[in-house]
Amino acid sequence: MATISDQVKTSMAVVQRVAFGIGILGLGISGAIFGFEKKQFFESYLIAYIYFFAIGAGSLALLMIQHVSGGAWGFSIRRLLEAGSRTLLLLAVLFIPLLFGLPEIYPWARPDALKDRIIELKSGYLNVPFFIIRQAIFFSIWIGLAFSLSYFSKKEDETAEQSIGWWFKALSGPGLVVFAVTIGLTSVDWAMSVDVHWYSSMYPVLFGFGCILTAMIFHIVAMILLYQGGDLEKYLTKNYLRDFGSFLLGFVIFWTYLTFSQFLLIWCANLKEEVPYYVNRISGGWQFVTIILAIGHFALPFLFLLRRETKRVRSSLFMAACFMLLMRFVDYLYLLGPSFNPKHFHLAISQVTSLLGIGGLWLSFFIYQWNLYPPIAARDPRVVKEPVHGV
Amino acid sequence: MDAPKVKIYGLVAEFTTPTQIVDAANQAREAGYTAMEAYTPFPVVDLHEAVGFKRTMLPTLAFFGGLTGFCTAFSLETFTSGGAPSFITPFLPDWFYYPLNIGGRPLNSWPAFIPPEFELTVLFASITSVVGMLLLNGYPRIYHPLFNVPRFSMVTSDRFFLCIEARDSKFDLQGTKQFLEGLQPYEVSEVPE
Repeated sequence: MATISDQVKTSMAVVQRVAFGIGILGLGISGAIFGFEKKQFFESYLIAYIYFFAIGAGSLALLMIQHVSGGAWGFSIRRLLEAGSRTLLLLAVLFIPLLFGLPEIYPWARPDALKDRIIELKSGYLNVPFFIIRQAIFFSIWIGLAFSLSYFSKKEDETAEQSIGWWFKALSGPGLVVFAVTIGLTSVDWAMSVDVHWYSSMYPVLFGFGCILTAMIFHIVAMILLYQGGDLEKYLTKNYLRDFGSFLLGFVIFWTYLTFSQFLLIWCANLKEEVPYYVNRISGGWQFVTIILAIGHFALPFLFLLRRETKRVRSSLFMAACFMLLMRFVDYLYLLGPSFNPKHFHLAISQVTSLLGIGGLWLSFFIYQWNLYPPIAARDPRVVKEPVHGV
Repeated sequence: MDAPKVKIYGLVAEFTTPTQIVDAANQAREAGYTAMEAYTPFPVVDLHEAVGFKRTMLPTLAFFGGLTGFCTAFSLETFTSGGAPSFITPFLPDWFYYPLNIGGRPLNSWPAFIPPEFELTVLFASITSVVGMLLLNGYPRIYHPLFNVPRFSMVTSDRFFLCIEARDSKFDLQGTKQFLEGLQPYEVSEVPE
């Protein structure tokens, strides 16, 4: 039976308490900012919220992917993914404040919105009541999936029935299809409709994949930190880590492919209704964020992870993952920042406080959820198989 | 009876069990031999470490092949479309200079250049990998010297072979032969080049 080492256990308890404190403090300051800068508060809150939502939703997607695909990598982080997917419960609660700020964020929710002919045509889908209904349905589906997968996981631990494996697959296969559809609609609801005249068919894929990428990076960091010491260390051997390094490399390349394709198609077509999105992103200071992303989110990790050894060595993979975690935030800032502040680069104080606030609460909730289950699903059929690679 | 002098590729020892060959490879490595290779009918656990397997330079070759492909596509597109800096363009020959106005876009339309750059990177990297693999495997020689040893054909059924190659700095025909015989093989043979 694999257990967490005592040292990790004690530091986890400290981190949980400190994170909770920071979370309350951060949200408190954000709340104070709300008093005199309502618009700024909601904008910052949405960006910070999407960042942590991505980890929760991405965990659910990865959990379902590893249930249908198998593989030693999925087995080694399965409990982390389950804990991550259960944080969607907290994220649903944290979404509620946004409902009070819809007119601050979305042009289509403003009282005079229907004077705009384009918004009027879109109003059948983009209206406040339907928006709230959609979010309620989506969150119920995600939370339902996350908790039923965890429920069967618990049952598997207790009863060791082989038939439970069927349930994982039966939930995960259709679950992935449902997830793809709901996350795509979510991307339109939360982020794309900020630029209400603009549209891109690449956007939902980019957003959904962004969730999976962010979650994968977070779990690489979490795994390396939490499995240290004790008998969990065997899941940090070179052959395991190499899988995660390869995932990271492949995901970074796919992110670049999606991001660049969206840009290239719009750039080539050069249509009046499509280009403003990128004009905002290559002017007024935001062009430097674009360059930072091109270098930090693609060129550096690509060249760094290309080598075989960097993917297998714990310290270098950890470094790369931490750096990518930062870059993911820059990417989410880039996703919405230029739409909120088109003329000039802007990073508000409330951005930092809401990031700390949501992040602190989220992290302490994640640790709480992770402690509920044994760290390794000992009755997973994959546990008996040694991770032997053909290399 | 003196046999005509032939160039020696190495010495090969034949073993009958996987355990024997792993032990033998370990002893050979500890004795200081570096240029050796094991040949077995199926993958043997730990043998990889025992022979001290080293990665080849193929990944490095492929990387620079890819880089060459990228630079080729980049310069081809930039120079032919007239996107190069103005101090270069006068020196370009006519047949290499087509500054076309496409939908009012700048001559140096680098975003549109990226897909071909990507394609040529992949193409050059794959060609370098395949050609490099063949060359590192000893092309144009199209067979492995070990097949000069008749008994080596048993490697596909039930025999395990450990070959210490002549390029090893510690290699010396008599001494190495004695060393290999000390490992209790079924047989030790010379491998002619």
